[in-house]
Amino acid sequence: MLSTFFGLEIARRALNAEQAATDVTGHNIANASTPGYSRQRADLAASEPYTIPSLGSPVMAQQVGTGVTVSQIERIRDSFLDNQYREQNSLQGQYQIISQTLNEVQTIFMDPSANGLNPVLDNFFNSWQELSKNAESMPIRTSLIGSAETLCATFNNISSQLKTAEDNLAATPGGPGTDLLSADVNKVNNLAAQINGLNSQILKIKTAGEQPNDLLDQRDKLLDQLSQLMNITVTRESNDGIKVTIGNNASAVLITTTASATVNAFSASATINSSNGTLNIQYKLAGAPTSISAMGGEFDGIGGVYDNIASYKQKLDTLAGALFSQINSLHQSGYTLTTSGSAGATITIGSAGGKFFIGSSSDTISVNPTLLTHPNLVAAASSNASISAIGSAGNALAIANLQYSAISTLNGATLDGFYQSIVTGIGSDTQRNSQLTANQQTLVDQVNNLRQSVSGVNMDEEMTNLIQYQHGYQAAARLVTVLDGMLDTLINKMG
Amino acid sequence: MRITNQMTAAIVLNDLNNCMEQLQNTQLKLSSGHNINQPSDDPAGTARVMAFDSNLSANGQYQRNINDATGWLNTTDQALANIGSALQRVRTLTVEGANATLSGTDRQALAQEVDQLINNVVDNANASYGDRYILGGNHTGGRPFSVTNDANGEPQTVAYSGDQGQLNYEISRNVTIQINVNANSSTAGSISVSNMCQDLINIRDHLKNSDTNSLSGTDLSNLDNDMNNLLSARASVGARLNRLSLSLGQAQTAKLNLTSSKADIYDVDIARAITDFNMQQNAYQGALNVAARIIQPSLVDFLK
Repeated sequence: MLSTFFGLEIARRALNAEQAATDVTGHNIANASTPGYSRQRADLAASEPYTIPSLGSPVMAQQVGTGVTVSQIERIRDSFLDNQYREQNSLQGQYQIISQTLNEVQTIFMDPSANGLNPVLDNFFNSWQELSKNAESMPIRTSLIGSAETLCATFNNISSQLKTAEDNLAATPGGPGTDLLSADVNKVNNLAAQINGLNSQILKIKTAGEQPNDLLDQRDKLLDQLSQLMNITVTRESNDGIKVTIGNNASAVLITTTASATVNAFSASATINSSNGTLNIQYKLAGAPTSISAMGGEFDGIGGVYDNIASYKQKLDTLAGALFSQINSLHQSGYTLTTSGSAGATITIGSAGGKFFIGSSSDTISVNPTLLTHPNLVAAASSNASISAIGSAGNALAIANLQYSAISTLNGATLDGFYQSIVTGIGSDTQRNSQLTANQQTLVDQVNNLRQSVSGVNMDEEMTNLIQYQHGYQAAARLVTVLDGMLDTLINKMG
Repeated sequence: MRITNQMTAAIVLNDLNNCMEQLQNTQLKLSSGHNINQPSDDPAGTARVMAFDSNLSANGQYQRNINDATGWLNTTDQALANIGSALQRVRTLTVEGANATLSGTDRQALAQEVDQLINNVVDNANASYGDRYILGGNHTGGRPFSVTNDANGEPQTVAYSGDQGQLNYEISRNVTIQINVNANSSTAGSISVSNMCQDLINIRDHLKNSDTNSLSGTDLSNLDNDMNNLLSARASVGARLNRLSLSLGQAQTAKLNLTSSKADIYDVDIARAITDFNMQQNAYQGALNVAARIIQPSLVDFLK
């Protein structure tokens, strides 16, 4: 025989359960637009059935159901999809950094417009042609030196902007700390600290037997952000704890919850190879003696694109060096004039020409300062010119013809051709990386959509559930009314 | 597949963004007028455009060089023509002076005219283009020929202070042309102004001395020789002027070809770009329309 108020208990449990389910639905609706939110579901299960005891047998043929209970509030999340997302996101982070930086770098070169190095180089050689037609004219010499100064200034400018782009990516230790590498290392440590904080809370809640759903959502969001910076592998540990390792190196542990929630400090130090200007970054975790490789994510992006820029800079230096040595060697085999043509002074052939350029790399190349004030020292005359042969312009013509000679230090390319291939190289690199980035973005979006499909909130679904729970609540309330009536008959109207 | 609100929003935003990106690219091309606004738009095309630019710049320089050479050679031609006229006049005087019926005083008058003509020849041999002397070889700074007169002001010698140097202009890649004439060459068949003037001085002396035998003999033949050499020099100048004119025409044609080839790659086909722009704009508006219809309705609208 069941107790008198047994039915009321069932109704009470139904009301509670429907109300809890409605609250969960309300929580879902409220967070429909929250990024990183996983929908929750109140799992309703029939509560423990009640066996009616009797003298004859301990177990009756029937067990009476005792109503409904919310067994747990489940968080709908697919951790496999999360791992996939983080993998693709790492690649995305890497490509994005490369693509963004290369787009900035290619605007430095300003070709094929009228402002690039190409027309400046052409103008420089045209000035030598003009000099070859009128070797003793001081205005033409001054104009030649002017176009040479423009050429050097353009080289210096491109070189310094490339250096700025490099410095923005990664600075050697002792730098101002405004570079991307330092910023990303700080981000990593920041995120790791936050995740660690969440970990310790989650462990506490889980050991108390509760379900820390929203904290888990926050942690997953932080892990997504971390995955953009580098390759991480997330393994689950007991009590919803996680271990985060970097790359595919199982001993590079950033965060763990094995004994308690711990986080290891992450650092990176950059050195530049003096031979070719490429970057060497040492990544270290506190407590792990060896440095980490295959970082992935933005870190690998930084290293990769820095090396790209270093190679462009090297090629520019090679070009400047070829210009420096070829023109200087021809210039020093020609002859200068003696005076600057001040009124009344006679101009005659002078001595052998000195250096035309000083500084042989793209950031140091400049016109010999004595030429700026003494344009007569431009060696236009051939070496066999007699003292009054001021019209001799064989050397000027020879220098002008350098424009189309194959130069051995440029692997047989002309000066023009070599520069054009530098710009084309940058263009292809940028185009290729933009394509990679766009493709990768599609992949990332696809996985994200799959995640959303599993964990996202669908308003229609929530509305439908809401109606279902509402009806359930109404029916349970009706049940209370009916039971109330029955009890009323029993108590007030019997006897 | 289960569709959620965030998914719909994300997909719609992504597609609208793609439409916008295409629109922006077309708009950039239209406003700049160029197909290639940065090297990554078309790396191979960039290389060719830059090569065309270099060639066009060189072509312009060659045309300037050809024009300068033409000016110089025209001046040279004029100077040589003037010298030729003077020599022609001297010849007339020589023939006249060789006539035995003339008196000594008549021949004196002729001799005086020959003096003036000698000065005229030297003046023309000292012609300049701009402020540079054209017949001195590489000695362009000072007058190449100078006359030494005696106490009576009569020319006695004409000296040359220039050299045999060449002035070469480049009129096309690795093609140079000598633009000057060596006016005092000792090679057989070339003009030598100092020797020419020596012949004229001899004629004058013979006129003064009434040496009709020399006048009608060696003087005339020397003069004829000089005039022939002068004609050869003028012919060479004329030939060079013709060649320059041909080269100029070729350079101009080459420039047209280069410009049009570059435009094929570099310049935007406006008609096509505007058509693309309209198409993309339509696509964008269609996407906006559909987006508006997908995002709004949900079950909430229909529940009482």
